[in-house]
Amino acid sequence: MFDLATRRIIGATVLMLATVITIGMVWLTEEQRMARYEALHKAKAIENGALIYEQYCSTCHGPQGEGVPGKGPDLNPGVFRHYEELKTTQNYANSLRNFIKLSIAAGRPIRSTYRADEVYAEPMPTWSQEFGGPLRPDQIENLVEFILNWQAAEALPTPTPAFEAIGSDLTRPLPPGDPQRGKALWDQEVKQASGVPASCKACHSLKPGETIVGPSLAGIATIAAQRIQAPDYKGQAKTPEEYIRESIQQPNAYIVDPNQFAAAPGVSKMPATLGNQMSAQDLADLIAFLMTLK
Amino acid sequence: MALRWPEPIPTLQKEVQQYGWRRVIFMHLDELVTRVTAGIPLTEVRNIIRGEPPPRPNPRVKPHTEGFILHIKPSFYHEAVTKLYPTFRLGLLSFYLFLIETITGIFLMIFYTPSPLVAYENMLRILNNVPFGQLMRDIHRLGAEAMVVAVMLHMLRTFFTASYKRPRQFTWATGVILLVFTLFLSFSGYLLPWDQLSYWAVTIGTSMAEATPPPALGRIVNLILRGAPDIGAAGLLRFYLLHVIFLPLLLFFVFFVHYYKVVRHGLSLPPEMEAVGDDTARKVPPEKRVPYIPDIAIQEALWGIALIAFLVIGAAFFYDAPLEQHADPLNTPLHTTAPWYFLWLQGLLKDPFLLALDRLGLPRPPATIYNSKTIMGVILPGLILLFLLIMPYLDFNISRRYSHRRKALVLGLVGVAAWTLLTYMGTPAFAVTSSADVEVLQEFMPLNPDPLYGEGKVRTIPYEQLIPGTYDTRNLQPPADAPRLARVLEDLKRRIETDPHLPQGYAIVRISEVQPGLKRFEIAIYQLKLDEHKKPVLDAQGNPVFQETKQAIYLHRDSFHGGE
Repeated sequence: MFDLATRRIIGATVLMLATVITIGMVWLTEEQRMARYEALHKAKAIENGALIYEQYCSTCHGPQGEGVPGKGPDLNPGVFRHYEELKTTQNYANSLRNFIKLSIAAGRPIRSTYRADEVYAEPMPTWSQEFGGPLRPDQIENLVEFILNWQAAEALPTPTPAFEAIGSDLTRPLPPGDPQRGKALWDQEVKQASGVPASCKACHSLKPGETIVGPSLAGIATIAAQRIQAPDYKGQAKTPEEYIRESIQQPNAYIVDPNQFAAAPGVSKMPATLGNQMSAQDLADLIAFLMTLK
Repeated sequence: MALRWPEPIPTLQKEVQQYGWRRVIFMHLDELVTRVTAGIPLTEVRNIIRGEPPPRPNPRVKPHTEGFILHIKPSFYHEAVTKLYPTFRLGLLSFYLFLIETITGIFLMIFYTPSPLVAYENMLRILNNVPFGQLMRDIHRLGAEAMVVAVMLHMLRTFFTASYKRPRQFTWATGVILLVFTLFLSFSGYLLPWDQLSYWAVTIGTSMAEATPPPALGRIVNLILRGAPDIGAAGLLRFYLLHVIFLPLLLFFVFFVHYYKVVRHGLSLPPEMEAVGDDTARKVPPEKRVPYIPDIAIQEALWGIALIAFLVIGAAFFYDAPLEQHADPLNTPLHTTAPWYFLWLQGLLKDPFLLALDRLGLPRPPATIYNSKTIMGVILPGLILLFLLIMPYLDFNISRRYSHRRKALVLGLVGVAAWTLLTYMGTPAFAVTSSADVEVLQEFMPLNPDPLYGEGKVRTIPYEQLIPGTYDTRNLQPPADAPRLARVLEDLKRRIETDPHLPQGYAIVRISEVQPGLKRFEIAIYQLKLDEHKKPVLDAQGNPVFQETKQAIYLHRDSFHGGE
């Protein structure tokens, strides 16, 4: 129909039009495409963050962010609540995202006022490579995305049951203790009066000689009896029961081997606030249980 | 005496008075067109468009003498080389692709910083925050692949039409250098996105550098290339500079040497058109001449339009440049491959010689005498390159006729076949052994897209069909309203039960929702634990012990898995 040159020119014109139309189509849909990609990338970041969380964080903060007694506080909804608290009471001016990011990257070098009844043995370590941790900046970003994704969950705060905490008061007389319930408390089968499981076993082993964070409690009844006779013992206890009670309520009164078990001079690694979570009955039961460990 | 214009000075007003305004406009327009086209007046442009023959003397050759760009182009071609055969326009296409890569590359450079801290983030910004960013990246990547293909085919074409023979040996040698530069240009760009794909492909691609003999030199070569024992910040910067400055400049320089030689010797005619031993490319009889302007120029423009259309439409609708997870030096993906054009090297490194010895039951030579990595990774590729470079000088057969070159053609075909075979051997489909349980997990849910299994079957399940629960392949009861999940579970069951390396194997799949819009998918594979005599290990009660392999991935509602 047409000669070769004409056919070529027609073909090229068609191709050129197709190219221009394609670029036009890309142009028109570019905004949506970029938004879609952003959502896709955020989803992938959450997926990656979840894997990192499972590997590094869940041992202390729980697989669902529910916290592990004695090891790490709950993040869901703890971290969101704590941020609101900081904002209203301390005029904390950073964003929630940065608050989480900084807490992960640089850790929490002191035991903060995260919760009034905080009973965690170890501070949060630094996680970013920048501060000597194992994670790259992009991995921290992914973790932050994963943690922020909990916000959508809107978990209800668990109401704290009303009870009278024993605190650090050594003078109040204790009711008779039940070693069975004491063991159940230790094994976290029943909860303390505060509704929080007892965190003893996070740091203390019952196997002789095994040190998790604190010393093993195997044979503690016998050890306590010897300890109050020791020449360097500075506490008030006169009986093994009183020694154990003092160690729980006022861990700084006497620190065994400060080189190993003191967080700072005169400050035990064992939190001084454990008594805030338990009633007099809880404490009596725990002591009764520990006294069975001859 | 002061220099003076001749009187009267011609002014526009006087010209109009003398010639009339129509003619004056034409004169000035004509002058303008002549200047812009470097010598073709307006009337001649009209003649060109009308397809009329040029007058004598021919003003259409003026741009070849006056203009800079066209002075390197011949003013006419032999009619025989203007068809698709014998050139297939592969050289022209390679050059066009180089230009397109330069333009798209500069666009991408605006948004890129060569540092491991931000490079990957920059890629994400290009994709989610730069208008046309994805299109440009896709064109750049597609163009790079196309350029490697075009240059390789160009070399094959030159070999099969015997265009490398006297007097074009040196043209061939510069072409081989251009091929090497093209491969390295593409390869050096491979690292820049700093994702798992690029990081490990380049780690493999540079792994033979250390095998350069002697060992002291190998260490130095490795350090120069990677900037450190392993690829890191220094390596990324080095590859970036290679990619954007060093290699393009070298390639540009060698290209001009190459093209000068092409023009100097003329495009070789199809072999059957010449007497044996003749080279008549430069002696074109007048009736066979096809002028560059307008015929060849139009052809070349058409090829350019077709190429741009191919790249733009291909990148917009059919091709997406891959971007995997952030590079992780501590986590090697199971099936890591070099870029496809270096798979043959990876195949060589699996050492066909040693594999053949094993197959024949012969003992392997001691590593002190036969260092596989040095010989297969450095010496043999070096010899192949050297052979390619000097091959035309070793070819004493003066005939370009196909029928006179049977041995050479067979050699060429054997070379192509060997390359294809080695490329296949380089893929993870060949001689990569990992334990069966790990292989199953990789097949169903790789952490990164796998060269063999893609995204994996688990990611083909739509989000709604991921119904939380525990599924045991020994007693499979998938939910009725999740056909895709049921299919994948059936596949998993069949895959594990038919694998001879998984004795009494079964799997337990656990799906749970961990956050709104986020589910966890875990596969635990169990198999009989065997001792070294292939006997089942028994526990204290005399029951067989099963060993467990577990892996979990997380799937988010918006991550477009499930075939979207």
